[in-house]
Amino acid sequence: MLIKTSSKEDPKSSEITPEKHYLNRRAFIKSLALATASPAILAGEYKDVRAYPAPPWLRQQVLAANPWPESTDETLTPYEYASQYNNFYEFGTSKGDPYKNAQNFTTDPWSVVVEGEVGKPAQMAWEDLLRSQQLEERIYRLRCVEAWSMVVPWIGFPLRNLLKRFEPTSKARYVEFTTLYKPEVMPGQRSFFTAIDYPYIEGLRMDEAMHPLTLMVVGMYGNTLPPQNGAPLRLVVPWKYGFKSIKSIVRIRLTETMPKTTWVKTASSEYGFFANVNPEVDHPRWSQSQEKRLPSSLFQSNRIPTQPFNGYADQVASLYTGMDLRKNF
Amino acid sequence: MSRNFDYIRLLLHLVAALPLLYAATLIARSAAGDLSALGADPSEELMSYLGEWGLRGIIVTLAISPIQRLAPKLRLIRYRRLFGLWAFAFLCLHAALYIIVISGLNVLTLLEDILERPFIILGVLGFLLLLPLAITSTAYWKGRLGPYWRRLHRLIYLAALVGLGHFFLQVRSDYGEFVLTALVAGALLLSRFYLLKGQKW
Repeated sequence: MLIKTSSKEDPKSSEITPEKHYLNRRAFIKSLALATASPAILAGEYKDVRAYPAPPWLRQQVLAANPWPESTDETLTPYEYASQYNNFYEFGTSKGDPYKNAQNFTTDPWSVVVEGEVGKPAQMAWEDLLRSQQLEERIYRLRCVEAWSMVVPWIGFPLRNLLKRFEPTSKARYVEFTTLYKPEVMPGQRSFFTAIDYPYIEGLRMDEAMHPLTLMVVGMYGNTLPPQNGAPLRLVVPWKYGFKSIKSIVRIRLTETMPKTTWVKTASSEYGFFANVNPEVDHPRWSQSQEKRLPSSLFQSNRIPTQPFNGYADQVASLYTGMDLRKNF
Repeated sequence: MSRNFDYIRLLLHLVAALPLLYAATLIARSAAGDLSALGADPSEELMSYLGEWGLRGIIVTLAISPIQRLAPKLRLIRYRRLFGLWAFAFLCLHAALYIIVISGLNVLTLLEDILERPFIILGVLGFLLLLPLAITSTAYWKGRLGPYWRRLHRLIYLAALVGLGHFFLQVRSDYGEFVLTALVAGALLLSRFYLLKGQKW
């Protein structure tokens, strides 16, 4: 134990800190807390975030993102984990593959086709899609069907703002999303033994797509989206398992009938169309009652209980009133 | 050291231990914060790694008899037990990691997994099939069991099939690695129809 004995040469603490500041210490701490509550982006909270190539107009928009007041205050997953531990099978099936294989993925120029049950179908460059969208930084929990989870600060805008511009018709009941198909740059799409019929397709019911929590994402951790996380444009649906949050979107089609989504086609007994986070309904390989909050260590799994709808039940449970969520998993 | 010291045995032990040595470097890199070593979920990654090497070890063990038949002068059969026990050691570590870290020594989680998850049921079954083989691998048991020893140790064929099933059930979409493993294991298992022709089971 160290016992500090003060010698005569040592200055008194009152000589270092003026008394008025000492008496004001609580107010000082409070002001620090307020400073960190302002946008994390401006406070430069994110360390060692890699800036991937992105057009200047997007950087400006990302930096101008507003903090979302309902963000979770749970500890953020460190950037290097969120950007190096990914399921993006187009770039390989190991968790480290997307980081390894997507580094040179070109995401600009990019355009998205919006078609189907809309009044104004169009193929639109992404700068036009994003123009006039005020971006928000939203910290969401991300729950993978493989029973691990992260907490990620996304930057994006509600999908409904995008859909409204194309004027959905009264027949539009579902939204189907498609990922880029480009085998020459996506090694997973070239795999001979893959059971997935590419391109990757996901879907939402119209009310889910129009829900204010459903986000089109173009950035994370105060920066533009890394390619392994789904650049340039991805979906984030925080109350559903991660595979619903489709990456690198090139097509959005509004339909009358339920889209045939990739994982349902690949293994319909394991993955459902709705895929709402539900601790009551297990996957054949993974109990869904708990999740590992990553990063975990070699000696400690860091398991926490999984919440219904990933903790967003208050906002979304009403979408499913009267539905049997065991059947509609 | 005697003149008859079996240097080949020593060498094979060292070769068989290589996956563990490599695992040690992965653990060290992971502990030092290198994400490319074991990723964000190191216990899960290490468990898969040990399981894969356990299955490969069983496949190597299955290859010894056919090689003995093709090249009897090598007398590789002397080292079959060595490979079998190393494979079993990998699988013991694989199981220990699952029980202690992944399930967190939680009896309820373990029970639920063992009763409800088909791939874990197969994993437990495979381990239980190998356990008596490891126990009776000594000269003492070989002598004591006499003719039954060979028949008992044919359980490794079943254990290999169960191990492949355990692997297969965990494939999410890309069957490449599984197909490769299954082809090699399948060829070695099929070779038994020829090797054991006319023998009593």
